Amino acid sequence: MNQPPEESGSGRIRYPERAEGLAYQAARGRPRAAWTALVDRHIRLLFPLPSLLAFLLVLGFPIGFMLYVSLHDWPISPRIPSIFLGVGNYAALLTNPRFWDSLWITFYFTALAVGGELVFGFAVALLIHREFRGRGLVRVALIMPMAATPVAMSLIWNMMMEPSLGMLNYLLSFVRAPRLLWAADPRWAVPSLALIDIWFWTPFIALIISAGLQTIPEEIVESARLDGATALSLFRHITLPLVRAHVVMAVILRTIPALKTFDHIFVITGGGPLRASETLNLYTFLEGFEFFHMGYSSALALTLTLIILVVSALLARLRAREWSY
Amino acid sequence: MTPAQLRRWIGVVLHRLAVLLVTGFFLLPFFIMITNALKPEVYINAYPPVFIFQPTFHHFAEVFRRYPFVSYMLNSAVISGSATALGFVIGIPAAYAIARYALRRLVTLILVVRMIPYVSLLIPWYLMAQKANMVDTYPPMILTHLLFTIPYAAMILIGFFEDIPMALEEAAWIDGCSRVEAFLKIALPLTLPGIVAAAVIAFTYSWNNFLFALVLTGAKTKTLPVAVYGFLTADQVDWGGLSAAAALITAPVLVFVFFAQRYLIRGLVAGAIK
Amino acid sequence: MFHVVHSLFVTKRYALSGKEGAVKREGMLASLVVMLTGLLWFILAGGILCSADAAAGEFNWKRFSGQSIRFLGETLPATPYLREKVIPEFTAKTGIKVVYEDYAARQLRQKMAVEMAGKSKNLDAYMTLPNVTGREYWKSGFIEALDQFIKDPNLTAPEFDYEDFSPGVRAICARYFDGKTGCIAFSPQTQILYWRKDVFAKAGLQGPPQTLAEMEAAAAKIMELPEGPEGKVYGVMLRGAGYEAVTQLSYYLYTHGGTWQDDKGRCNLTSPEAIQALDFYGRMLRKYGPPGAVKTNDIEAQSLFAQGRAAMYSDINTRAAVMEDPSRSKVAGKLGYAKIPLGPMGKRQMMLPINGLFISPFSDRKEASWLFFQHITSKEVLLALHLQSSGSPRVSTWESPEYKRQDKHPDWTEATLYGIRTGLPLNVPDVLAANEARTIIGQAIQASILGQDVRRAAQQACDEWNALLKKTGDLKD
Repeated sequence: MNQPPEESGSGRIRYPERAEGLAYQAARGRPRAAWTALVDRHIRLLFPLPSLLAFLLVLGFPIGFMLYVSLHDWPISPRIPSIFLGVGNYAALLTNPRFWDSLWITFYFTALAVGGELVFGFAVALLIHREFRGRGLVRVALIMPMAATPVAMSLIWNMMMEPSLGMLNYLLSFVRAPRLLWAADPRWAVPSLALIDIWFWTPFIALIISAGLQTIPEEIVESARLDGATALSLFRHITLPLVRAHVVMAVILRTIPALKTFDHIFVITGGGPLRASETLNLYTFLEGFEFFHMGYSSALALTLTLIILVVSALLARLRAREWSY
Repeated sequence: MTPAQLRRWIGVVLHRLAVLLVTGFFLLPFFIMITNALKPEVYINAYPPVFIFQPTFHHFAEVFRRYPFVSYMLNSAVISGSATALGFVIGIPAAYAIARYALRRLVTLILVVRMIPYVSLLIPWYLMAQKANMVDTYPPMILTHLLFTIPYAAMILIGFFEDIPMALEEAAWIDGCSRVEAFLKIALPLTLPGIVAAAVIAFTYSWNNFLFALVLTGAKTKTLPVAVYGFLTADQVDWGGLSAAAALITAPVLVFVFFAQRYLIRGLVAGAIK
Repeated sequence: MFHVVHSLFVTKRYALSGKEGAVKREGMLASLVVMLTGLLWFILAGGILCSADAAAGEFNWKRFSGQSIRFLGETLPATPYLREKVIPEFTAKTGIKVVYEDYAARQLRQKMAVEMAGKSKNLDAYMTLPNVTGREYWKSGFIEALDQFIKDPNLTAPEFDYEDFSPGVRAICARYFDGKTGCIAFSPQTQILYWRKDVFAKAGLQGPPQTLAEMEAAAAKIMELPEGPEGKVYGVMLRGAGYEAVTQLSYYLYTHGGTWQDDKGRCNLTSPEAIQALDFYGRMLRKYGPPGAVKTNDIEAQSLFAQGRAAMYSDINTRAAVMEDPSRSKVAGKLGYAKIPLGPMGKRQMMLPINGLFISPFSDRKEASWLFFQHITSKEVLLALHLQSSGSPRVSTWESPEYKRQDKHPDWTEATLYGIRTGLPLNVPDVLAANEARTIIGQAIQASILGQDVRRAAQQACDEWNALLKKTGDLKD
């Protein structure tokens, strides 16, 4: 039916088709092909369809398989039959202290890493907020850690953390700090890995917060200054509230991947020493690919997925509060 | 100098110092990487570290001599390039649809896809590849990498598409364009900076991927991250060679990112906020 | 050729019909007969010649020419030589192409698991450690028994001479496989003690240490040496990373009189001898080893020693190939080799891990793989490898005059031979889930290195291991 087009504020389309078709014919001198109209009418379905199909193909069978395997004791040998366990694997992992240890380590690592990135990232954002000579170069230097290959840079960090020959202890020697064992010490394994993670991802957080800082209107800052605000109170009462939304966004974007961190933990400590850095993701990998307990490993993976979903749901609530979305 | 001026001057000095320290922190590993890659063998394990030396390309030469490094680079390039290209062909229309029709649930789906720990999917993927007789070929790797290239394309571009006022497309419709045409000829070109940014990010992520390649690639399709991990566990720890290999692996993406940095920052931020 | 014969009989060239055609057709028939006769003659002659060959006992290496096999092996010091010389030789001799992939031990196991899980037809043969994965792989059906190949004269060249392989090594290849021969030994790898003659001289010590007590005293003395221009030289270098350290510990464990399992098959790490051994190992590394050693795996340990950072090092004998290579090691020419020192009871026990060659039961090219095995374990190839300190499973290699002539390190030979002759295949516990057991025991070792309560760590490890043993049915009660 001929209806006037709706306001396009929400981005939704409601446009009368007949008028379109007529306009098409008027412009081209020929009626629109039937299939063009068909596609146009169903853009809402057809455009996302390839993505859905791709996901189905790549995830559909594997996830189903993973679920199926998690309900069995599934030996890697084709000769030995698998045994149906029902929730056996899940019961096993819930009663296994190693699971709870890895859960704790995962959260400990994530808290250290994301926390550090947040604090440090904020500081960096504030630093580059000012105009100064060479700011562009600093920006470039900031992007580099994000782009670098984690495995390769982990090897470099491994070298730097070598207790007797590495650069880090050399630098510490300048400030007369004692030589640390870094990732070779069970107490320092997770903090060392968190430090590397901070190196990788602080620029990411810094850029997001920096964008937020740029949304703060100059006038407010100026008038606050004129009213005699110190740097600290400026920060507390103006900067922080106005960028809170961005901070929350940064936390959300970083927390989920941090829970799943694998590459540099695997390469540098492999979960050790003495399982001190064995996160849940790493534990899942080891159970699957070192000991070939496929069923148990799949159960662990599903549990990790569940945990991540819960965390995201919580974070999404936080986000909804900050962003009127 | 007045006290106020002094205070300002100190403030500036402190600021510059802080910036220097921060920049130094982020550049330190790259510095170590390059210096170790160029240091002659005898200085590499010296302590205190030696900073002035005659550079040598011996380690780079060794890396190329001992391993088919060019083959690894080619594999990485083919897989990441294809995954990015394919992911964008699939993901950009999806982003458009999400932006125009507010498909919240699809967004949730995409977010959920990114939440799954991929460790447990490796065995089913391997079995699927085997059934299709495609082990140690490119297609399985490219397909699994779609799991990140599509979400990156979609998430970053949703914001860009939402920024484009409907009026532009409506004008096109009035002039007789079909919606698909309006999308292709008007909306898409306007999001080009976003596409470039998202492409660089997606390509980088795919290039750096380690876990999938660890299990799904063989001798013929081995990618750089797996190759360099192999250096670590091979017959000896050769810091010089390792650094050279690390440099060779990281260099392409760093160069790529350097040239696209303006788009990158804009795209990253815009995509993140929306 | 047809035309040549044809033209001998026919002068006209064109039409085949009519009277001229009849002549031509006759000519063609004649040439056909000649050719068939010739062919028949060749077949007969060839048959006679071939059977003459068979009677003379010549082995046909080219029987599977044109096939291509894929082999997954562990990265060894010998790998470059294999790739560059031995494999091309093999391909030239047999016409079989070999795709040789090598990985570090752990990565190799992961790859193997993934490929075997899918019954991959793509994997024909592989190398692994029978002591560690032999039982597990046999039970899972990943190993093809080799007896049928060895006994078949059509598949086994006479020069293969399986009896030439040392009895100990042959026993290991039959031990885990229900009495069948599961593998062909490639490289026996007993551990020996490497010691720095120059550092010992500097410390005024007479090396090598004969007992563990002497070893500890020497390490202590060396730690007190002033730091030279090349940096500090530590007393001893051992593997610290739990999983990798288990095989090293085995020597010290049994030398102290301990065992992995008691006679009922339960974990025996809590016995006083085992505690002593664990304590010794951890103490040596903690007090006289480089800092951060708890993270050191076998490759790093080798590398650190090759850079001259320690005065003593116990690890497998084949590492000597790297140590004596001036392009890769700073200590070439400065080393002495010895057996593992005597324990507190005046005894020592060496172990004998071997690298074995296996054939996958899912492969379509088992015979071609078998030919490959024969080539790389032939007397000539093993001698060449042995001269590079690879260690040979063949008795003849060790006794060959050529080796004796070129032997630059008789002390290495003596130590290694001792290990081969007396070594037990117990560098890891002889259980089904040996791999997992290694990880569990490794925790106890790391705890000891870190100075934690050894008794408690051993008890914890035993609790975990006993639970695992019960699950896999290894306990004998």
